[in-house]
Amino acid sequence: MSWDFLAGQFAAQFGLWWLIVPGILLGIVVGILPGFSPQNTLIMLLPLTLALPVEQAFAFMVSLYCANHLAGGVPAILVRIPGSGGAAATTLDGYPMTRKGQAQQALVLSFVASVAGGLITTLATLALLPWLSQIGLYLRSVEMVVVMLFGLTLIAVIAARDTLKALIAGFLGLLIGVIGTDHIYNAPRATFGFLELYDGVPLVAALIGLFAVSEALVMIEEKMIVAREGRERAMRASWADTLDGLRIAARKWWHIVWTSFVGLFIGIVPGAGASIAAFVAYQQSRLWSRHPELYGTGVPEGVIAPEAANNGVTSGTLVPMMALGVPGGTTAAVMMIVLQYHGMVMGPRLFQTDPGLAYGVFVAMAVAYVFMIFTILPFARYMARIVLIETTYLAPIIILVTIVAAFSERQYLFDMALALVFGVIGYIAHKTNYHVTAMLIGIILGPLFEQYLVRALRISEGDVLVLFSSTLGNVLWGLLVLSLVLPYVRRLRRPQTVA
Amino acid sequence: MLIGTLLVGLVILQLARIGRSLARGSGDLRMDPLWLPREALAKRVGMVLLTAAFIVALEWLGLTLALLVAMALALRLLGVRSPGTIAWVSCAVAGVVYLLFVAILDSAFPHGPIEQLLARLFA
Repeated sequence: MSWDFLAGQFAAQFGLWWLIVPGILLGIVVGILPGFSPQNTLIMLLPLTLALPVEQAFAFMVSLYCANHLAGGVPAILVRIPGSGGAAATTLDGYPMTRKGQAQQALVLSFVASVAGGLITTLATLALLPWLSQIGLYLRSVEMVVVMLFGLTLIAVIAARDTLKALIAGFLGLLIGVIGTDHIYNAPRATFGFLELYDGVPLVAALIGLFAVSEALVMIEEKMIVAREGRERAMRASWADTLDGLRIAARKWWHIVWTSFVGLFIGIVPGAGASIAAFVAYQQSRLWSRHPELYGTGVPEGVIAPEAANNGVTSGTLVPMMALGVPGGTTAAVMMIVLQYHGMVMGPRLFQTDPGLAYGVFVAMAVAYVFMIFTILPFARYMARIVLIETTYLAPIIILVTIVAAFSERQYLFDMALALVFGVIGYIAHKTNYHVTAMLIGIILGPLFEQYLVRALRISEGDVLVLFSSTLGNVLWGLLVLSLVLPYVRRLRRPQTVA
Repeated sequence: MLIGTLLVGLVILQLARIGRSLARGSGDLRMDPLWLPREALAKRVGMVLLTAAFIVALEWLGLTLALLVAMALALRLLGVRSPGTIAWVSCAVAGVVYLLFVAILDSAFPHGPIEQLLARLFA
């Protein structure tokens, strides 16, 4: 791959702005609405993408996909409703920033972290593609068990304030995650006779209920989302706040870089997704912070880490598809359908037979990120105004529209009722200080953890020691233990330092 | 099984913690956080019941009409008094949802009189 080739690719992709910009705008709309996934949107748009030449179809699809990952953070920050599972961790610090009247800064931080994280990892992928494609081969079920545990330890991190309550919420989430058919015998488990639960608890319904509906029920008691002391600041918000957000993001550039690589490496593993990456990045960010106690109160790093990571995932997801012919996620699988329709055979040979397409996909992604920052950044100021709408109007709109959105993932009325049930559970949890994020971590990561664990145990015919059988796995175990022990060591050392 | 056992263990620990704080006189069994502030309680319960009714009515009224009615009732319940405001906010929300979910995304929502009328008009 020569510089001339790359320059030609970039020039060609910039020429596709007329597809990239609509893709970005559609991706933003789909990302902001909980219940809409990029894969469903791409499936609906298949007649369009199949009709386009493959390079153009890909420019449109990756733009939509990347913008979707970016936009999920917008409702997470403004109204504590993650647009997707990958944005759930953003609520932890994004929403407290909004409550303090810093919604605009939080949005700018989220946009810059998403774009910079996505761009850096895409360029890294372009440069290191042959080597990165090997990572997926090394991270097998044994190693993925430990990666999942990294995410699950966030429950313990959240537990810092009330260990017992957060653990109860986390384990309740894990228990809810068990609902569905089991991975060995395909027998229904805790489905209570509902056929709709055979595929497990739908994530969108859980997300909407636990965050959107419960938060709207809580916000009824206040006039506005923004706390009284932050209201004046939110009303005075100007372009200076956008610049302030940019300044903070520039100061935290290293944080954006390393957390985006967490997303890239997790994204490369087929089946692992943005939710895991965002939770792991948030957990690691808090772990290595000098002030971990401030996380959850509205710190910029708490917004940067999950957003950079969930956009770092975007290029990682395409690596196994392009290099090995294995789709890294459902969106990649839809993209693969388009490629196969055009007669492309995925795998290592594609880089010799059609380098323009193989590398062009990642170049299109990089170009989409460049367009994205100019498309969305000016809107931060106006988006932040949403928090000034009175809850009298906002609460019913949130409850009814998100309940409608719960339908769109699987098209079952059952999911709307389930979202309402989760809303009531979330409200009770909120009011009694049981952390809903801990519950959601259990619901998202529990089934994945079980899936990898069962796969590893099946390969070893039930021998638990298989979990300690690989060098990389053991290194990850060591890091996991270190990440659990380190906060306590720090806490022990802190009084001595003060003394 | 393992998760359930651990969860039961954690719940027992929490109950013991509550028992200890009761014995010390530093806690009580009142559920005030759930109900307070009192003036918001009726609105909350009302919103939950209204949403449940909306889900049930969806099959008969279709998405747009059910949402229009539910939205108007919800705004009234939460304290909006102006009929004009209630009407335009409800119509705007129902209209946007119709455009997005039915007209553009063609989701399989139950169709009611409004969807059938609009389908006939634009067919």
